[in-house]
Amino acid sequence: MIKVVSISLENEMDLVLSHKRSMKVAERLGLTVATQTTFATAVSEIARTVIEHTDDGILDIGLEQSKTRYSLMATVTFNKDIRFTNSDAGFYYAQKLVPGFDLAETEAANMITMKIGLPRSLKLDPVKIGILKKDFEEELPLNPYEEIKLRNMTLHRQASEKDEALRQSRLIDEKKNEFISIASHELKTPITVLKAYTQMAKAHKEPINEHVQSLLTKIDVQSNKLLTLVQQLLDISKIENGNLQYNMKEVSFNDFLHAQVAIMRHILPYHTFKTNFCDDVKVMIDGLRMEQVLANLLGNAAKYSDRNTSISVSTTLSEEGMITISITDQGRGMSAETTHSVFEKFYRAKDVLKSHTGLGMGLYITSKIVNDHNGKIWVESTEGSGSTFHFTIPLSTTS
Amino acid sequence: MNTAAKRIMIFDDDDDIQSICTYILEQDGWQVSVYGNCAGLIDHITAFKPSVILMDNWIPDEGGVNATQRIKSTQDTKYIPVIYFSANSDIESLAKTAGADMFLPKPFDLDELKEIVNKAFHRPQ
Repeated sequence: MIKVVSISLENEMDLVLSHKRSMKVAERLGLTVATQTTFATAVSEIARTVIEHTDDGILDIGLEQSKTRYSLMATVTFNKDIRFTNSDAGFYYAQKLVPGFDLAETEAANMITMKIGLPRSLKLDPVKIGILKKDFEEELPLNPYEEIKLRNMTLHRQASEKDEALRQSRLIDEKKNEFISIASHELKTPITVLKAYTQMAKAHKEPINEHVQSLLTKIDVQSNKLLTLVQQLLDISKIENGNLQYNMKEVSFNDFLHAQVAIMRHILPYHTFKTNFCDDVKVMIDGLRMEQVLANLLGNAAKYSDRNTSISVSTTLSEEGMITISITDQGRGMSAETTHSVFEKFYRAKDVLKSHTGLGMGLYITSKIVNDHNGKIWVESTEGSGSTFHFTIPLSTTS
Repeated sequence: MNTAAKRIMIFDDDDDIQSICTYILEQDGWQVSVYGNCAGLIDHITAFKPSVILMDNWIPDEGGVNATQRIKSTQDTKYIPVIYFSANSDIESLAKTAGADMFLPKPFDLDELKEIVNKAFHRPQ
């Protein structure tokens, strides 16, 4: 069918519209007033019967071509669970009015078709039908109800287009995160192999010269950097998917901190570490994740300060049952603008873009881990004289 | 102290991981048997009688979780310690789901590998 008019059948107001539009289409085609009325009555009888049962029926009025002849046609589509019998007066009456009447039941919906053959003398052709269609599209609403209805339809269409766009972008996002997750995992295997072979070469029975030994150490250091980056990518995709998981255990915090600082002294040999811890307390933490936080903050402290300067790690207890960990460096510090944005994903300060490599992932992940431990993180900094990163974590309730 | 022979079975589909583990553990006095998939899993284990099993998370065709669960639900194999190893950062919960006795995250230090395998071997039965 070449559709000319569509009307959703929701309430009695739509009956009026159905009748008027049917009359109008028949009139525009040049049918007699009697035929116009017959067609419009049949259509509105069916529309009435459908509206009595449901508010999601749809009426389409248009033309059907069969070889060289055309028929005026109306279809009413409605919920497949609704069945009409001849005891439905409108359904019975409409069948008597139009020469062509058919009820089709499909998987998706039921559809009533009504047809009236057009006389050859009308001489229709696709161009004329196109003009008719366009005229009805551009025709002003019959009444304020139709105006509201049309506006609602437009809004509804826009809303569903927006929903679809949103669904698409979510899907792309999911795919992206899934890709990062698989890619990071795939990247870790070669790093494992690379690190293991390096270690095997270093541990070779026959002594190897100092130069080769130092090259192997460099390969190892770079493999570790690569591993950290891959791990960060993986963490970010987990944060985005909302499935960064924690294995919380109660630990003595001073023991934990001493162990972490000892590891970092080994990894960052060109800086002096000073510690000043308050009395020992118990905290509930994910040890591996908290290790990541300290490695990130201490690593940054060393990265953005000169060799042979010191980095201090201190803790204080607050009355609110929190412990504050503060990491102070004697480095380049940062601008007020940078202190505001430094925890944002992929943020990198303009002044370090060229001087220091990085992807802006570390502090974002660190802040996420601290927040997930119910703590807070912030920074105080003076350009040129160093930064202090503070973060808090709640004390274990048993301590 | 475990008086059984130091026999280990490794399930990992990566050739390099296979050869690294074999090299390191043979040096440490282990008899090593390696498989790249889970075909005939239980039969191979009951034939070789390992004292420790090293199981990768992404082993074809069924994955480490399922394979470990099968080992742990078979009468003849359930007492053999299984060390779960994976590059997946959720390794701890994966190992738990699988019912593995220990886990070793990838990448691992070669000393860590020797250490955990020996720990599994000497673990009280």
